[in-house]
Amino acid sequence: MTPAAWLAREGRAVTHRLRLAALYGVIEGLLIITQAGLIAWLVHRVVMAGASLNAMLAPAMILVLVVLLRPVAQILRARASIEASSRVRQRVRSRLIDHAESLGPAGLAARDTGETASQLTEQISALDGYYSRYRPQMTVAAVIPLVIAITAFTQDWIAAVFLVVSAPLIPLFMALVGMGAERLNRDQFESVARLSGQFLDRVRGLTTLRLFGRVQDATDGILAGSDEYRQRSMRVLRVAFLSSAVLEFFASVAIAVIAIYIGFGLLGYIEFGPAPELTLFSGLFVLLLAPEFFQPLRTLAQHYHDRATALGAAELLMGFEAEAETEAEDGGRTEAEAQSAPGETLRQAAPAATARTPDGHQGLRAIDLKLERPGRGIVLEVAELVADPGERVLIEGPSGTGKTTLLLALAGLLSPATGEIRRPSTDQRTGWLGAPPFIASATLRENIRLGYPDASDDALEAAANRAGVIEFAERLPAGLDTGVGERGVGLSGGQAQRVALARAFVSPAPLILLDEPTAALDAETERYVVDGLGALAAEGRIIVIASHDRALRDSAERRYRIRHARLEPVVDA
Amino acid sequence: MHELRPYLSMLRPYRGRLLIGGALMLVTAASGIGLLALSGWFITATAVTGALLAAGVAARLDIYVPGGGIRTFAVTRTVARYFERVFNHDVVLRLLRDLRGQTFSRLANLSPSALGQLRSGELLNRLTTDIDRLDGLYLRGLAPPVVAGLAILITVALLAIGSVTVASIAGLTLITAGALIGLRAWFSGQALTRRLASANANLRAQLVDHLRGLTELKAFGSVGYHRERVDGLDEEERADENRLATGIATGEAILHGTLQLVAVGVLLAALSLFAADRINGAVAVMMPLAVLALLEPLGVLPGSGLHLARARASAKRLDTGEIGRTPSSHTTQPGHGDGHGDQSIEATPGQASDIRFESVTVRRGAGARVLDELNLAVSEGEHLGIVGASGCGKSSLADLVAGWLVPDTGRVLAGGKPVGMLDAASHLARLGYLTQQTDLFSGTIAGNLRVACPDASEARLWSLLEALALDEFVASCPDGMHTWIGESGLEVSGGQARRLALGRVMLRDATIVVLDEPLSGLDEATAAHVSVAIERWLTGRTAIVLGHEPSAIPSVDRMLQLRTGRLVPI
Repeated sequence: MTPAAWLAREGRAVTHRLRLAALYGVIEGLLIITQAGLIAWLVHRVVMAGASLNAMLAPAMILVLVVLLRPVAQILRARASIEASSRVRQRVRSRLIDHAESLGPAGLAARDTGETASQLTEQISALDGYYSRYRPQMTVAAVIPLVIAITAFTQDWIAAVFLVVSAPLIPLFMALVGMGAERLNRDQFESVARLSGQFLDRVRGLTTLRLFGRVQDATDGILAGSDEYRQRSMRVLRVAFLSSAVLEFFASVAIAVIAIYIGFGLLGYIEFGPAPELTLFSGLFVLLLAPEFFQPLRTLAQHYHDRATALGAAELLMGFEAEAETEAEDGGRTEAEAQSAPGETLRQAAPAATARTPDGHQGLRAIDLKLERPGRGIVLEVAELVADPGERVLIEGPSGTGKTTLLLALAGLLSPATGEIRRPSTDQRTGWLGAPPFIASATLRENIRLGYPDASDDALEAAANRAGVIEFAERLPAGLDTGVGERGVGLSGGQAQRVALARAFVSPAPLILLDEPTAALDAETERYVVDGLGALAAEGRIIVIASHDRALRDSAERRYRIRHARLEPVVDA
Repeated sequence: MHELRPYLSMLRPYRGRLLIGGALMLVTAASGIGLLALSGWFITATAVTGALLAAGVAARLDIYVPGGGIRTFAVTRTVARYFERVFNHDVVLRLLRDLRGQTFSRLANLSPSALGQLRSGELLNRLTTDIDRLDGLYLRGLAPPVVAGLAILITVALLAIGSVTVASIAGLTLITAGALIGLRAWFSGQALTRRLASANANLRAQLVDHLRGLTELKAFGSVGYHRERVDGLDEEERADENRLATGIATGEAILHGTLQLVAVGVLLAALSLFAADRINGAVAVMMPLAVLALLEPLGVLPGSGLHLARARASAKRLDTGEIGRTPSSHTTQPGHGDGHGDQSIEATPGQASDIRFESVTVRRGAGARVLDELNLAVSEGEHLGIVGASGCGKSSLADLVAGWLVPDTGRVLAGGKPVGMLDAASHLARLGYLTQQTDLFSGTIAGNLRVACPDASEARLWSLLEALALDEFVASCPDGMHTWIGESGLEVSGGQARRLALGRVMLRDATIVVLDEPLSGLDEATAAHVSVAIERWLTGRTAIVLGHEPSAIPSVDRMLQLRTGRLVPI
């Protein structure tokens, strides 16, 4: 699919509103024609026929009415098209977020989240002008000049011919604007993007530049680059502006030629054709229509860059969508199943692979698993893994041997290539303490509630206390309501781990998975974590910890070890 | 408006050009008015004369002067518009150049920690948009109201031919309406722009969280709840966008409507003046047409009000003072810049190069101790390895040596002198610091290496590439060492980028070396090859090498583990 086809497809959902916007645009055009006719008629009656102004009261009132209706049509058109654009963006954004969700953690791991978020915000916003301005104007630009030409024809066909003669030229302008200018436009866009990219590149690398004492050189480089860019783009712009100058020229010359033709006709200098029949009414009417004949086209040309912007954005978004689709197909099969209804939580979904054991076994069991990661093939084989409620199970092994992959599979976030995972109950909720733990840009309270939004304040505070969050939150200006994460107060590794622990306390999840929970901790936090895990186990939850930390070894009831890409039980001598 | 003052003063050197550009805009507008007004006058005059002639009355009308005038206006309008656009865009691009240069120099003066925030923050996302808004300050924000005002004066002058009273009433109405609607756009634009910017930032942040925290959200089963919040913020953002767009469209419609109403009023007034025999028919027609021709110069006023409002918001964001005041600045050093005023000591290459940490404590965020009373001594020429999990404070330790982070208590000494007292430039000149973050620039491979040493010979670069096991890769690139990499160039892998960054450091004749995760992203064989090169290069230099596990560090004299903010034997 081409980006243009993609834009058209997305527009189909709001066809109705786009048509409505175009309709109001056409109505406005018709009002303009009516206004021109009324002015011409008023002038003709008063100036030529000597009618008194009092006799003209009715047409004058109609004229005022028409003039008042025009802004109304304009506003209605704006509202319809703004709404159309808004809906398209809402749909696209929602669909792409669904895609991102269905990619799952494994699929998203390869992507820069910041960049993805930019695509989902800025690139989608860049679609706006195409739907809110360009599309409705396309219809208006096709209809109104035609109506005006026909109206002019009824008044004086030669004058209409002056307009229509330029009509075959209009596709030519459009081609000129369309092809020539579009290419120039695109080149321009690209070089703007490249120059901005280089500038940002230097800003991002400022630390390095300073480290090597090269800031001044970089500044000079930016100035020189901008100057070179100016010279290059001025060469382009001189040509690009010509296309709009051509439209401008025809608009101006049409007025001039028609004015002079009508003037000569009215003086009786032109004795052929319809000229002898010209009156001040028809002459003035046509004169007033002449600029309006070109106006919709000029407006369309002005909105051309909206189209170029949208096409650029569409290309990027299509790329993301395509990637999402292929990866969703190969990588996250469970994802697709579990999340087939977008936004539905795992709570309701119960994938077949993690069904309750028929024999009524209450623990977690994984049998004959083979786990694979995209691009890496099979990374881990598990003959059997058993974890009973109230047990702490330790999985040891050096980093990079597939511990995280195993945890993802146990959480149901990565479907095993073969084998089966049986969950202790139909409750699919899983407490997850990642390495490093995820801290959202929100308050501490919201962070603790992240996994269980329904948690009561009392439960939340009790959990915060047990996990040692209160201890440092007390020193913060707003306590638990202090904003943390990227846009707030930065947390140390230990503090983040305490928040994650509190999150697990609050959540009723029967299974809790921890990835290297004590790797970057201070001694105090380590104690909180070790004690906390004991407490969670005492509540009857199943705890699986991936770690190579000795401190956790003593408290674990069951241990496994990864060796040569296989999980094997460790039996203490 | 004070945020815009520095940018307004940037316009000063271009006074001459801006005047010419403005004059061209005015000529365009004036020609438009002249074309329509004169055409109306002309055909009415010919109609009246034609009617007289047809009635057998001897009448004369000079058709050549007005005819010539019409043709002239038609041509000047087109030509002036063309040159106006070319000329003004040239000025805009000149301003863009100055703006980029100035912004860059200002950012370069930020402290390293503020730079770190800048990298991850929202400012960088909007930096180019903000600069673009400011470069259009004159063309899209300031010039249109001035040109509109002058165009109204031209129309008023034309109206005054018929009636001074009508001219002044129409003129006052138009100026009032234009000013009111322009100001409305400026004021409501400011409020809405601010709301929109924060709605935008909120949505983006929520989305980033949604994607980054997807594992947690999916595991805990709360994706749906959080997705609703994303959708809610999306709704909010679009509502704000719509409000802004609708506001501007309404302003434009009201302005157009007012203009048309004034034109109709002038028409009726002119016709009644004609009926009273005070003016002739041609002038009566010319008057309303002169008003109608104002549509173009006046129509842009709401847009220019909004542009000014946005430019102001951009100027505010670009005010680099703001960067240091973001909430996460807890972590950064108080008032620590690069230079250290008059007390700074010049560091010379011949000086001693031992490193000492004396009970150094660094706190972060909510008061947690990243480094806790840490003591460390690395003697001259010694190579020390430090391992620790990510987030345990390794990079803080490295930044302390570079002088980019100031300890909360205790001090760091390099060559016996407190790092904080050293002259930053000379300290950095003897330092070889491989930061955890790899910064490659879009440019050639050679250019990226030569950032460290502009006059390194090609032979030297090749031997360096060989040491880093990059020679085969570079030789296979289309233009060898002159292959363009980075944005719009060849993509290099993380491991290759890491080695290029390492190569850059190795081009420096540093006496003190800090390598933060030098082998990250490298497979075992490459890591072994590169380790040898690092070890060879480190001979005779004092070095601290940081890694997440022992295998991530080339062989060193001594190895310690950073745990719970302290160094312990491994």
